[in-house]
Amino acid sequence: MLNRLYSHIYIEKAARGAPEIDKLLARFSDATVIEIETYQQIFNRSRQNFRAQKASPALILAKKRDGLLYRGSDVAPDFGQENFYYNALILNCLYDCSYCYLQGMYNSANTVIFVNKEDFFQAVKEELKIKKSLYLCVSYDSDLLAFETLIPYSRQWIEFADATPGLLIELRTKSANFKSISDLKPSESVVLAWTLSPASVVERHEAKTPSLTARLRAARQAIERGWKIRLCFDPVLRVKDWDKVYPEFIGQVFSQLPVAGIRDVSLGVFRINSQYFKRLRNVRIESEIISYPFERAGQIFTYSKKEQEEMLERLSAETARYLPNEKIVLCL
Amino acid sequence: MLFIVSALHCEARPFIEYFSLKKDSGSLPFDTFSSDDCCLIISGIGRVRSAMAVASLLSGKTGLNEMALLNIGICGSADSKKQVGEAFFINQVVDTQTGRKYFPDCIVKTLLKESDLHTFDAPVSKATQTVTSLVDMEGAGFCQAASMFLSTHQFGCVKIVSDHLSADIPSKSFVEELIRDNLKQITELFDGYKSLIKSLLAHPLTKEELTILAQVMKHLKLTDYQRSLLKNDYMAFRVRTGRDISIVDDFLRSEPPTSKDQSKRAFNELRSALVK
Repeated sequence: MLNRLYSHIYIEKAARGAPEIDKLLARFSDATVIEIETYQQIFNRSRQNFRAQKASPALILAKKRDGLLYRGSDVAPDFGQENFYYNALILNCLYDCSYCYLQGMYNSANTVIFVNKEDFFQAVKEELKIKKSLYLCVSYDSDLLAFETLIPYSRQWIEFADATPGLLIELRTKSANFKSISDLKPSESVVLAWTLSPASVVERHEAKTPSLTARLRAARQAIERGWKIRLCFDPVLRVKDWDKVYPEFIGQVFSQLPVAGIRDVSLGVFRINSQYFKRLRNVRIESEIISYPFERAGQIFTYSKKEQEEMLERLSAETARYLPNEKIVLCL
Repeated sequence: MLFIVSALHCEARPFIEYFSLKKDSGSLPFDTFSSDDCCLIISGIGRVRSAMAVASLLSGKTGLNEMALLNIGICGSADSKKQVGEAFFINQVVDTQTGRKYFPDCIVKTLLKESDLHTFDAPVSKATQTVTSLVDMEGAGFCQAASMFLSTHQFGCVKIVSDHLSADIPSKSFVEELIRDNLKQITELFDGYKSLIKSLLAHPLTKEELTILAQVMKHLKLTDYQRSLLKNDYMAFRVRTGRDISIVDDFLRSEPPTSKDQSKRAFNELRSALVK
């Protein structure tokens, strides 16, 4: 028998007093609370086992002191936007996708929530003074909307972006929890983005995530509220019969979502930093996705050039049946 | 496999009886007792002895990822609310000498209460105590050594309050009684650890496959690095295709390489066959 989710909460001394902490402690009122000096004491310990911790993750509440804003990664698409940045308000995720790069990126599966959101906001304001415009992905190394009932960061960042000229944020999610932000008015400064996969991929490789049906329902609700949303068919996985599974899935998506409500679609095959991949392969030894004979291209492990082209051509053509080409962004 | 470290014979005796452990001959400098799936070592008092006992148990052992290691013993309490006889699962160990802290994972569910623990180098009395928690003389040494061998989910400490920093040494029979009174909850914790560790051992390769792989690696005279690459490639092949090891087995029937070049060529051929 294992402890339940967040049975243990580690709190940095310096983070005590943040209003979010009291709400979280009230939510997990029977959790054991342990005070620590820095979150790295728990999160960066050596010899942690990601799978063991994922079975019963602890929650770490901390203040982020540096690295409040990072330059966008080469593997991530910038959608033609200048000054592409991302930040990490939460480390790790409630979901358990077998291919997730976080398993290769972090030593720990415990969740870290940084509670000093004002410092993150300030970092953005400072950068905007220099750059004038910023494209900021706020939900990369986690899934903020999935955490929304615990900590309302999606809401707070939408409100912040709406009130901050020059800032465009992307909020990417697999969550079906649109209702928690459905009262907010659609903002030109915010791109709501849903990562979608075929139902069979969700069932086999995206454990603990909402079903495709639930995600589509949430995306449709957002469109009905007036949002122009982004769809991310990324990562596309070379599963058995991918050339049938994915086209059928794309047809299903566009049969349920009005094209007029779709801002763009990003399309990318599975690709991962080589260092993360080496660790991920050890963590998910049983995954047929990870056991694929990927090729190394520079610092990236991915499908062979031929396979990439085949997949992207096939699926972009399929997507183009529903959406003009200029709205289809290929992530290479 | 379960490993137990206790400082004193009287702390260990209830486990020796419960698990029907037999004393190992020639186990100096520490007395050890074992069965097929449990091994207990008596470290003596102090963090250095505790660390040495862990090292002597685990040094050179294979299959470390299959092990759970628990330090079980009595402690003092500077907190009057923690009653004599109460057992605590330790969620944080502070080495008062160095200030270093250890945080074993708290993944396994237990009915035991939890506490932090401060490890001192000498007995702590009411007059000298500077903490308000549990105190012992082994926990930090145990954790320091355990964390060099095992993952953070594989080891932990359980401490039972024997006194409130009294100068009197508790009798052996009293210590035994304290352990026995908490035996059920402690052995349930053991079961939890064993079950967690077993659940993580789902290994896609059978013993037969590992044996054949080892034979092929030897036959082809592969370097350690090549062996590691080949093992990864074979595991990926196995998971991806579900096919048996005959593709590797075939290479055993080839002539053994007589030069580095031949060995490398055979290695590359085998790898290519696995990723086709």
